[in-house]
Amino acid sequence: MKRGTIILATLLLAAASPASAQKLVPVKVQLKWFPQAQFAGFFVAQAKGYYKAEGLDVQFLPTGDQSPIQTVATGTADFGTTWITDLLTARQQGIPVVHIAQLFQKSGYTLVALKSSGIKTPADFKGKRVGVWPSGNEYPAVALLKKYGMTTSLDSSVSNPSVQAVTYPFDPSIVFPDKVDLVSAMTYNEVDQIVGLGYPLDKLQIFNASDYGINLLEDLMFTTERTLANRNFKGSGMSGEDIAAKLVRATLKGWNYAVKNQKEAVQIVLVNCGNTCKGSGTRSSAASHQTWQMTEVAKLYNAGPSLKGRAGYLDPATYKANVTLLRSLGILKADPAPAAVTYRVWEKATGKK
Amino acid sequence: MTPARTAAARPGAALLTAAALLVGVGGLLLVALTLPVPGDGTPPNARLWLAGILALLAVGAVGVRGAAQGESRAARTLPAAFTLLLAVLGTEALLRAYAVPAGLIPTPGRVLSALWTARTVLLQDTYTTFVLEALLGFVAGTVLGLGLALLVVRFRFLERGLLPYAALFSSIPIVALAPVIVKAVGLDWPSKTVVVAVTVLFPVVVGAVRGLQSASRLHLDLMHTYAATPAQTFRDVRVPGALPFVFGALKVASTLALISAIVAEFFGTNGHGLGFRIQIEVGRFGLDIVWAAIVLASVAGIAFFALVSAAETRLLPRAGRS
Repeated sequence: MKRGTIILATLLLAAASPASAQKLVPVKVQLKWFPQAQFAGFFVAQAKGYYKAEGLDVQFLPTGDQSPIQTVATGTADFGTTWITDLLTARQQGIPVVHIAQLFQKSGYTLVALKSSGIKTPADFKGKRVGVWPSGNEYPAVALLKKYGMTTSLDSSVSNPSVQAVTYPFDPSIVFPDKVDLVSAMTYNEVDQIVGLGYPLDKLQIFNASDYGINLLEDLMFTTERTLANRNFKGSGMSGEDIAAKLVRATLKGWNYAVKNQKEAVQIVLVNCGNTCKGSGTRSSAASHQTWQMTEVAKLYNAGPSLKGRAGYLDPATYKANVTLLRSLGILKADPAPAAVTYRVWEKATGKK
Repeated sequence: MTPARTAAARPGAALLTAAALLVGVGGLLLVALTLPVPGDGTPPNARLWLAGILALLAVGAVGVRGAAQGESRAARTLPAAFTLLLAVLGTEALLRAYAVPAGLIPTPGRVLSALWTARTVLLQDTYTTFVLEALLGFVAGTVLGLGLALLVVRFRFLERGLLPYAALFSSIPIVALAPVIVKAVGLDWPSKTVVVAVTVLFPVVVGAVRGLQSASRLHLDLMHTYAATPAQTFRDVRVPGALPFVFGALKVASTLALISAIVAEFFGTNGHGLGFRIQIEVGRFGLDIVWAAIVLASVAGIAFFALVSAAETRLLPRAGRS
């Protein structure tokens, strides 16, 4: 009898005090790459307890070279980060993924050549060997080449390409500079790796895709239509859209903190990664490489809408420009369905319109 | 079994079989054509269609069972042909009924049309992967393997010092080997040829050595009484006895060769080959092209295996007679 009362009392207490006693909702987030400063905001939000404060128990799934779209579309992960071309081409192939927040407001994709190669403008790419990453990471290069009227064997309808595409497993040291004339590099990662290989910046000719009108947006957050429409996400009693809003709110809070406190953010990132955080050659120290990465990533985050206090917002004009570009290049056959992007999650997360 | 056989002989049963096949195949074709392509229009009521498709498949299966009775030429080839037809049509109908996105699983129809529209590039890829990498690597690996086997059989210290490692190397998985060789030799097709040659080499060495040593004491003694030279003994006893072992190894190697070539391409290419195409199109959700590449790889693989088998049947009986 007495025991029963105690149980009853505990139950009542549990019902009365919400957040503390409530179970956290498990959420799986698929990152686009191995842990590194590229995802600093996520790790900071985790370390500072921002997710827990929203009632979420977030688990990050690292990835190698498969597309985050696959793990999210098949339900292995609930949310993911990827690039916009990846998202829109998946959408074109009938996979119902939805853009919910835009983290990087500017493209960090570059093609790098040695100055001694004599390549000065994109027009000089003709007949050259260009190193690209597979798995949907090749689009910015394809777009840049197409814009200057060049073709590669990456396109299954091109039998006589004017530029030789070379695929390799991401690490530029495998191909650069012997086996390719130009190599793919993110401002925040491979550029520093190339410098570490013994080619200082003043010996490099760096073509920022965004300088040549190819500003295809990168790291964004997405989920599926099914998750958003879920009325009772994993039995939490909350809708998928509410969970998404909580996730975005905490993530943006993490990002805002990370770009303001970069030194601390790097320390948090370093706890989360082992070998994958290292640079190359003379710059192989993980701490210095991630410091470089944090600085460069902050530039991509602090651009466009973020400067107007609207971090995470997908600027409709930029989105439209991206779609127009992808259509003109034939990478998209038609305008994406309106459901490919939702602003409701971001609005719910930030309370802004 | 006997009643069924005699029933098949009756014209009524034959008619029933033909009708079942016609209803199964025709019905599925009609269903597949009626349902919209995934992504077009509203998705159909999957459960309703599923029942119909399963029923038609069952009718088709009855037809295949009927066609398989007897020993005629038709009874041996038709069942397999109709099974394929039913499977392809059934898949098409099911994928359409459930409106599965083409970016996850494309319908067989889409795969066929991709095969046609991308044929030039896909054939170029097949040439690179099959001829330049698999076939050339296979030939190089075989020649080297046979040469090494001869040396091992001739010199005992090689057998004791080298053969154990050949057996060990033949069990190294290709995924472990490929990135290392591709990085060392380069990204162009020769690196894949080397990978293939290495994977082919060791099974051939092991098979050929075992074959060459399989000659029975009795035969060797007989040759000795004939006062045959070692060369004659080798030609007339050892080599014929080794051939079954060698061909066993070659058949295993022929399938390994194509797999190795495709897998090796995942670790770097200059933009050609079936493995490259599969990797790049998976990332773009161009699964129709991926499946088209898989179809071509399978056709090439089966043809290759058949070629080695044909060589075996041509060479083996003669060896047995001599």
